[in-house]
Amino acid sequence: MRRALLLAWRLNRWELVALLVVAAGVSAVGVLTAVRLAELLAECRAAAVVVVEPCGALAEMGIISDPATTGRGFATITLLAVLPFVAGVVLGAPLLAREFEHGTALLAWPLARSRVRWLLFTLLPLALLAALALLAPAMAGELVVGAIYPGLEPGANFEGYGARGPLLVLRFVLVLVVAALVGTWVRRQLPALLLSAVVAGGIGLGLMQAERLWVEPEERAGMQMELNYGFSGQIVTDQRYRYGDGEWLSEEEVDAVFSRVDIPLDELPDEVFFLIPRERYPDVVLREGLALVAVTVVMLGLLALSVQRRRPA
Amino acid sequence: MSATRRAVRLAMAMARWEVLLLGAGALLLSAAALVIAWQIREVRTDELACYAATPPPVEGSTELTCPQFLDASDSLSTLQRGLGLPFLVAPVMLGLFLGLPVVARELEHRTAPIAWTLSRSRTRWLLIRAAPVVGMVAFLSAGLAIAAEIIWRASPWAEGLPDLGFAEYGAHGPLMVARGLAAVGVGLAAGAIVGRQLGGLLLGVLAAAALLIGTAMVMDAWMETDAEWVELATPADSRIFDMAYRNDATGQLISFNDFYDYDGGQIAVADDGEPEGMTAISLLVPAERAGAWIARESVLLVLLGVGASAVAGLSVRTRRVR
Repeated sequence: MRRALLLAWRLNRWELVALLVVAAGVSAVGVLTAVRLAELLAECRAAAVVVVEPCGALAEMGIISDPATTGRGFATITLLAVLPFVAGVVLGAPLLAREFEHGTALLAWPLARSRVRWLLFTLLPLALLAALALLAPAMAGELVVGAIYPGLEPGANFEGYGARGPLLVLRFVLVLVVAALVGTWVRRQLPALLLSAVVAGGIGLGLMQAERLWVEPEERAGMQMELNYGFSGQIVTDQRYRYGDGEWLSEEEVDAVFSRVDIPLDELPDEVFFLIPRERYPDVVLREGLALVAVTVVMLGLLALSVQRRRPA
Repeated sequence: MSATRRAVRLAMAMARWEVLLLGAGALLLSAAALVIAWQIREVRTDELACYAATPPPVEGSTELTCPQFLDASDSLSTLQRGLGLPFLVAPVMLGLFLGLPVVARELEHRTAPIAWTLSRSRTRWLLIRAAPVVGMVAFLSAGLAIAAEIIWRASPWAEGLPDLGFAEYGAHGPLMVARGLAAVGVGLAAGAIVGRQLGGLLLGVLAAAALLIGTAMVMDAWMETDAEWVELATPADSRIFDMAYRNDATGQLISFNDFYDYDGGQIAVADDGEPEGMTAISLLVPAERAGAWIARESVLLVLLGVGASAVAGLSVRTRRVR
C-alpha cells in the first residue's frame, strides 16, 4: 500500500501539490472567516442594540450579515462547491489518458498481474490522497456555514449544500472516476480534460436539480414562513396561491388578482410554499451520498471494463 | 503542396481533438447566442406591437400593459446574461488549449529533439507550428465575437444606439480576439517553460488570469484619467466610474455614499426626488470614446501575447534536449 501511495504521489505530484495549495488556501480563508464571524456574534450577543448590521438579521433569519465577512464566507462556499469538480477533472482526466498518450500502457499492462489490479493500484491511492486533501475544505465548509448562520444547526441547514461535509468528498470521487473513464475513451490528456470538464459541469448541474428531488416537499402557508428564521436554510421548490375552498390559481389569475387596486384584503388568495424543511438535511445528504456511491461503483465497473477491453496502443 | 498548407494540415492533425472539441463548443455557443438573439427580437417586436395597440392605462391603475410578454422577456434576458461569462472566457480557453500543446506535447513525448534537429532552426520550427494555431484562434474568436455582438445588440437597451460602446465590455468585438491571441502566447510560453501539458495548463491558467486581470486593472486606471464629470446620465453604453451630487452654490462634490450623512442628514428634497440646490453628476467616459479604448486595450493585449510568445521562443532556443 505504501508503495502504491508513493507511486501515486510521484506520478501526480504537481497536480496533488496544486490541489493541496488550493485546498489549504480555501480552508484557511474559511476558518479565518468563521473566526471573525464568531467574534461578531459575541459582539452582537453583548450589544444592547441589535437591529442594525451585522446583528440585525440574527433574530429573523438567523444570519450574521456583515457585508465584507459574510460576503467572503459565501464566496468561500462557492469555491468549495466547485472544488470537487475541478479536482476530479484535473486528477482524473489525465490519469489513464497519459498512459495511452505516452504509450506506457503498452509496457505497464503486460507487466501487471491483471489490468483491473493495475487500474486499482493506479486509481485508489490517488483517490485516497486527494480525498484526504479535501477533508480540510469539507470541514472548513461546515465551520463557515455554522458561523454565517449561528441561529441554525449546520446539520439542519441547506445553505452550502454539497460544498461541505461528506458530499464534497463523495462528489469528488465520482467526478474522478468519470473523468478517468473519459480519459480512457479519448486517450489524450488535454482533450480528455476539456471533455471531462463538460461532463463534470453536467454532473454538477444535474446534482443541483436533484437536490430538491431526494425527498417530497412539504406544504407551508405563507404566513408561517415569517416564523422560525423564515426561508433560511430551507429549499423552496414552488410557490402558489389558492382560495380558501382549495382551488389553486393559475399564474394569469394571480397576475390579474394582484394588479387590481380595489380588492378587499379578505378576498386575497392564500400564499402557499412547497419546501424541503431544514430538518430533512441529514436525509437528503444520506440519500445523495448513497446515490453517489452507487453511481461511482457503476462507473468504476465501466472503467474496469473499458481498461480490460482497450488496446494499450 | 505549399509549405503553408502543409503547416496548417500538420497543425490540424496534431491538435485535431482540441480543434474538434473547442470548435464544437464555439459553434454551440454562437448558435445559442444567435437563437436567443432571434427570440429576443421576435418577442420585442410582438411586445412593441401590443403596446401600440393597447390604450394607455388609466391613471392610478397598477394593471400591467401587455403582461403576457413579461415571462418570455425575463427568461430570454436571463439566458442572454448567462452567456456573458462564456463569451468572456471562451477566447482565453481557445488560446490556452490550442497554444499550450504546441511545445509542451513535443517535450512531453520527447519528440522535440528530433523535430528541432530536422528543422533549420528552433525559432523557425516554433513559428511554423504556432502560426496556424494563431490563425485558428483568431478565426474562432472572431466568430464568437460576431455572435456576441449580435446577441448584445438584440437587447432592448441597445435599441437606437449606434454601437454598444462600453456595454458588455470585453464580451464582444475585437477585444475577444485580442484576448484569444494573448492567451495563445501565454499557452505557448507556459508549455515551453514547464514542458508538460497538464502542469503547463495549470501555470497557463494562473498566468492568463493574472495577465488579463492585470491588464483590465491598468486599463481601468488609465481610462479613469479620461473620465469627466457630466450631469447625471447613466446610459448603458458609457463607462461610469463614480456618481455624486454637486452643491450648486459651492461646487463641492458629495459622493452618493456620503450623501445621507451630509449636513447631518438635514437635506431638503425637491418634488422630483433630488436634493434642493444640488445636481446629480457622473464621472464617466462617454460611449463615443469606447472605440479608441477598445483599440488601445486590444493592441496592448496583442503586444503582451507577442511578448509571451517571445518568452516561448527563448525557452525553446535555450532548452537543453535530453
